[in-house]
Amino acid sequence: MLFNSWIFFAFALVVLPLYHALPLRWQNRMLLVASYVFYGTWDYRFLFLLLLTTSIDYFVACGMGRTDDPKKRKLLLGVTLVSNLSVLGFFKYFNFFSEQLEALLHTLGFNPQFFHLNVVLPVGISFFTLQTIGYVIDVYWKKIPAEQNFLDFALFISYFPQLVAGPIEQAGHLLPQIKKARPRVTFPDVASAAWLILLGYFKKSVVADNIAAAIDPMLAGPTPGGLSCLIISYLFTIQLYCDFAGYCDIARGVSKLMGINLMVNFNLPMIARNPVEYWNRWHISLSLWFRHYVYIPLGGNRGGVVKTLRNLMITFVLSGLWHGPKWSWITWGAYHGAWLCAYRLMFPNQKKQHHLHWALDLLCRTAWFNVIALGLMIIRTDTPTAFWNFIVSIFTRMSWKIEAAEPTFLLMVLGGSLFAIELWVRNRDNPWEAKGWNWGLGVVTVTLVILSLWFLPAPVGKPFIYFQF
Amino acid sequence: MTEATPPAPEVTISPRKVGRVRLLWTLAYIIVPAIALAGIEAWMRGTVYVQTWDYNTLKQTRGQMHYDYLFAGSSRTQLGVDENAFAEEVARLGGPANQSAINLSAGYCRVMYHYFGLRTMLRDDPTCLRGTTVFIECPSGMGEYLLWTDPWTYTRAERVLFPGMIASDLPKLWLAHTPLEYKLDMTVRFLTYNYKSYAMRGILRAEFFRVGREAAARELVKLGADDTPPPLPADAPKFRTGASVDPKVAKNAPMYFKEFYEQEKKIIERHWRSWDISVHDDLVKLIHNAGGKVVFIDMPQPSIFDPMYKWEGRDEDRRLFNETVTKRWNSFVIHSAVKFPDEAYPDRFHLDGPSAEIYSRALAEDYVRKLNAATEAGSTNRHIAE
Repeated sequence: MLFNSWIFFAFALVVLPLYHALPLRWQNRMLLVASYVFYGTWDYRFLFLLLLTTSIDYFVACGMGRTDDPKKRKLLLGVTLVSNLSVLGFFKYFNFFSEQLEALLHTLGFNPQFFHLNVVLPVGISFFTLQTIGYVIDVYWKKIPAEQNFLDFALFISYFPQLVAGPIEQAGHLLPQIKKARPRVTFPDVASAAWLILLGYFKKSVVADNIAAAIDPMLAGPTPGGLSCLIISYLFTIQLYCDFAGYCDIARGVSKLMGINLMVNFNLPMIARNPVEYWNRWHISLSLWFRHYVYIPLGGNRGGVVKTLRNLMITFVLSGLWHGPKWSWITWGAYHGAWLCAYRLMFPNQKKQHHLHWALDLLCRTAWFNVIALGLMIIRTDTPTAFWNFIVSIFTRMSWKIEAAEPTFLLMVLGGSLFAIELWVRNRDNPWEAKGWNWGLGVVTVTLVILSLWFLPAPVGKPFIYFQF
Repeated sequence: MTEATPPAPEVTISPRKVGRVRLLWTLAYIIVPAIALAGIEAWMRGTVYVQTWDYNTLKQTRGQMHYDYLFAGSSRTQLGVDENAFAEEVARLGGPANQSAINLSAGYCRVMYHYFGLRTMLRDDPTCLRGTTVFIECPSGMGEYLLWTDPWTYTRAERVLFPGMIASDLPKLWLAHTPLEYKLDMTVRFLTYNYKSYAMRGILRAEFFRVGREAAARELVKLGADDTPPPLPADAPKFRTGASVDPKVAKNAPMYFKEFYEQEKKIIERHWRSWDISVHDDLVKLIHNAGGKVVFIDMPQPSIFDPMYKWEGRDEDRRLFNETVTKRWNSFVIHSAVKFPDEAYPDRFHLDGPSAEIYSRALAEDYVRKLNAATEAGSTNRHIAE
């Protein structure tokens, strides 16, 4: 069930009024059923997988909560890590690693024929696996108590607005909201939710899908000219951002209508001026997860420069691998890891605020935007040859060609309007709190967003890119 | 000693005032966009031409409803059959003279399109098909097999159906084995068909992007961009409509076909055998009941379509189709002897103009030959008998 589908619209029309008509306990039960229905519309068979993962982690965490014996707790942690990572590994990485091993043995002169799985990747598996692992580790570290109510825990794992593409919620943030009586949804909450939903659909249906419709055919054929390639890389960056941030905005908006606040997952990542700032702004929930459960346990920045750089690289390569079982994703992870390492070497004192002249500041932001755009093309072009041709085209065939007209127009109109709104509203849930927002300008902005949603959505709504993870 | 700061006065806003502000807020953010949409709707009703749908605009645009030859197919037939050349050739070869012909084939349409179209025509004039020969496209010697339980339209081509759909079609749509999303989408489109600002928003979108693209192109040229059109030979192939072949389309044709094949995989990869419950069956019945005749034409097509039509088991499907045509529908299939190489399909899908004329004349020849042969043999074939 996609957020940009009629089924979801019908689903929300049933769930939201029903939710508000019920008392808390029943609200949670109804939300759990609704979340399972939401997930089951993709493939009901994977509901059993979701239930299995939930049950294992619930019982393991409860077991941890009942003992103080470090050995037993470690053993239980091992059980949950092995079970969750095995499920993820089986569905997501089995074929990749099997193919790599096959290729390796082939180069060594053997000719093995490994078994390849022909299974569909359960949607959202990467997201709920990380969420549930994070929960068990928090219980192991005694940061939170083990949840005793199975239904509440199951809802924490399967809560439908964020089930399939995040944000990856931390138990300490979402579970208490599920357990306690939610505050009454007020008029400002509804207004704020409406804005988030509107903005989310604008990002997805108007910006991301239209960009995809324009650049997909261009990238399907021979490599375009240099200017086109450069603009395509910018457009793809905006597309990916709008696709994912749009989903998160809608998720947060829908959740707000039920009185549950999901964490902010994006905070204007396109205006970051360095890698550290970027990773504090882009896919924040994933960055936090890797920081808490991978980077810090590896030693973080304790233990000298070399170890810090090693930890950074490991974290980012794993993050790339999490995105997809492909070399392009791993390379993308390593690319960002390398940038972070370089930045850390150049500016070892991370806590010091660097105040830059506005021109230099703008230059840094522009340069970093180019770095992330180039990095994302590793994923979009998918093969080293295609990526190389793309880069060569940018640097050697930088001629002005008429084929760049459509990408240029899209960049100016869609990218421009998006940046204008984002920079003005500054990621506020309540845009009317933004500087310069008044009745007149506000009404004009909202009207334009609604009209563009009405008239400009791409003819074919594409599935959200992050669903494939 | 510093003077103590007096406590800030407590500001209380009456609930009435809060209510008023909220009402104003709601009015502003909902009513203003609604008024804007209503304004655009009114403007579009007055200016944007109703989606061209040949079936229900025949009287207005051509001044007549009845034709002797009517071609019903997809863009393959739309671009591949020159109906006037066909009629001329039939007359030249001794067939009926001064026959009127019309090609109502359209791109992206399935056989439902023609079923709804002919039904609409008959609703306006129940005699309009009397004596008409309807030529139905059947590439590779087989119609595109479609049941009422299949998706009624191609993805991205939903809009082609709505002018002909009526409310009583909705239960049939909801009983089809199609995803819920498809049914909901089709229903919403059907219900909103008369609201131009929604039903035809695609036109506005296309226009918006076209104007923007052209403006950007002009600016790029001013900045010194190379505006040389993509390499096309001087004698670039043209379709019979006069349209040139877009090299981008030709370049991306395999990708489009692959995409199409993936989307329609379930329908394409099954056996096509239960023709007696297919939409074709209802179409043929509709034409026969209105006094018309049916002939199937084996439209030529390039090798790009081989995955659909040339695989193990398709021959049996084809045999069953031919059997249904002769025995159940009392008709025949014209398999033209003229074959075209892939180069005759400049966009990889459709015949170019000169080839379309050659094919249309060859089709006429085959048609006349079939007619003569059937007459000589004293056929009881319904088509000939009438």
